[in-house]
Amino acid sequence: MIQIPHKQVEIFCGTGGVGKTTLATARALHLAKSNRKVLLITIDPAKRLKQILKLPDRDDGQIHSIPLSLFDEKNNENSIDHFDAMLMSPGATLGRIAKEKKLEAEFESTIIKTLSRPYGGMNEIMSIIEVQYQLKQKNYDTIILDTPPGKHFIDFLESSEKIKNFFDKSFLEIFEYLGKSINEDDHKKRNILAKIISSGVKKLLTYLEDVTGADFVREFIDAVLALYKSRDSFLNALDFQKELKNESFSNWFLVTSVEQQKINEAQGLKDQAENFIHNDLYLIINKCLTPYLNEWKPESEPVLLKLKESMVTREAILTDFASKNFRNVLKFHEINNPSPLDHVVGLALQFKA
Amino acid sequence: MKKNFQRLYIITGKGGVGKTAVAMALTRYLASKGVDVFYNSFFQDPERELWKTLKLPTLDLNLLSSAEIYIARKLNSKTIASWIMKTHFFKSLFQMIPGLSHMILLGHIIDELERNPDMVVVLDSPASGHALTMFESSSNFKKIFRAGLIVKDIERMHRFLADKTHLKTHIISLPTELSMNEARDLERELNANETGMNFNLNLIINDSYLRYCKIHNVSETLLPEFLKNKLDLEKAIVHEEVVIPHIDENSQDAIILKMIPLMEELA
Repeated sequence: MIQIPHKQVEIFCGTGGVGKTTLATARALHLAKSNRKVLLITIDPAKRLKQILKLPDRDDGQIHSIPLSLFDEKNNENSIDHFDAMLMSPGATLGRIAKEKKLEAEFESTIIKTLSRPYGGMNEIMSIIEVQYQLKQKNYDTIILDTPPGKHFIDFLESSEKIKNFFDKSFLEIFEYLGKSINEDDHKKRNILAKIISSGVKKLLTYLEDVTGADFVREFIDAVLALYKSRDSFLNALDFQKELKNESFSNWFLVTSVEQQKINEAQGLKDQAENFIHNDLYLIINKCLTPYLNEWKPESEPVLLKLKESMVTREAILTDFASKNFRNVLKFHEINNPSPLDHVVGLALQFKA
Repeated sequence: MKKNFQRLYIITGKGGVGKTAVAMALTRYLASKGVDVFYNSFFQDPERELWKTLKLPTLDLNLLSSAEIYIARKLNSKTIASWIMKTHFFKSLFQMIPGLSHMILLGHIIDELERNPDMVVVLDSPASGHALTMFESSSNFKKIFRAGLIVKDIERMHRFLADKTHLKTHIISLPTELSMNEARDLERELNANETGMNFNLNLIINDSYLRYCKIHNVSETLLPEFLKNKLDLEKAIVHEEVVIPHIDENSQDAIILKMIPLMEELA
């Protein structure tokens, strides 16, 4: 297998169902066995995986220690006997920001709570803020981020405009119009600004009230104001995003699987990777059946022969596509065993091989 | 004739379980029965090439344009709607609350269904989050918004979906332990909703090698070890669910075409 250099951050991307979280866990196990201090940050893993890692059912945003003995790893001469894992909780990360900024009361809003739930729309940025925070603590050699489900994590990195727009001045106008103070020393400016504000803001709010109700408009503006007051946390995370794309700093793993017809997905990953090229970007093809298929000789059974051929073809198409479009391709063969624990152990061994 | 079919089919499940294939095959199946059916996807970049290859009747409502049309209807003005949708304020609102635009899209689809009593829609909807937030959110949004046009609309949507002849929801899963557990979790969560909606939930097992062997009369003893393991696993976890066999084709259109006649149980 290709030699994968050690980095401070490793990022796993891919859609659901390809084994991304299991692979990220296997990677954490492999690095811990190589005597590195590892933190695995994962979001929304399958319940069974949480159970075998003895992680809590609720995403608590706390650090939990996973002993290597759980994987039946004899502790050899290495001093590292565990890795740490965290179930990412956007709410917990946001809570920490609120505390730092002394905005706890403002963050007690229904809207912010809805947003910071898993799938609430703030998952990606919260993951980045969490990695950034953990890196600053300097407790780990490597932090592994298993990105939120969906294939849009790289897209997200490309579109930091989204967040910048969010703190766009049109909000400022609305705050000013409503007489909400953003900074203490804004008072002088307010009079001038108040004059400049077009009647557009007032109209916009009237229409918004028609559609969503007046209470919502008030709450939404308060929620946005609270986020606005903590905007430097978000804008810092944007700078950190750029670092994440730096080759000396990160390894990227894009995960796909041959289990289903995933050619389209591999194409999607390729399109994403084009905006984002450094040498340590790896395409992982998971659940390969090649070793099993090679040993299978169903020549006397026409139906089975056709089945085998279609499986061989499927894998060949994907492998061919991968090697044409990606510099580094890692093939992981399927673990022929239903236990998730054996999956983690089996895949970790493949990282070593 | 149409009274045997539902008005809206939602096909959901975790990534990579074959939702899109099932949704497209179901659309073609219903079309073959003379139903005025349309496929609509919740995905950001739908597979338009595949639609063309399969000659799929589609609604192709896009999230943002759908929101604009919807707001225009509510405010009786296209100009205002287009102006509102261009403001950063609204853009941010939609970005921050992804479930909101999905819910508006669903509202839009239900609008269409109410206007056209013969129309049927198959909705291809990712579960990792969005379908779930969409259902959750409709009651959440009611709590958040409390008044205004959106709440009236949410109530109208719930009324439409509470009728058990209107909605059928299929959760697609692979016959693996991980996938089945997640599908059952999703089933539980949807059943626990307090909206009064009648999801009419079904768990559908896709890509079954066990069913493949049965259809093709293959004796299990002839199978290699890794396939026998797959079959044993299936026997242990699949019980009364509707099962779609593995299809030994390699292009997505060929898979979908072979799936069409198997869709009777899902219609």
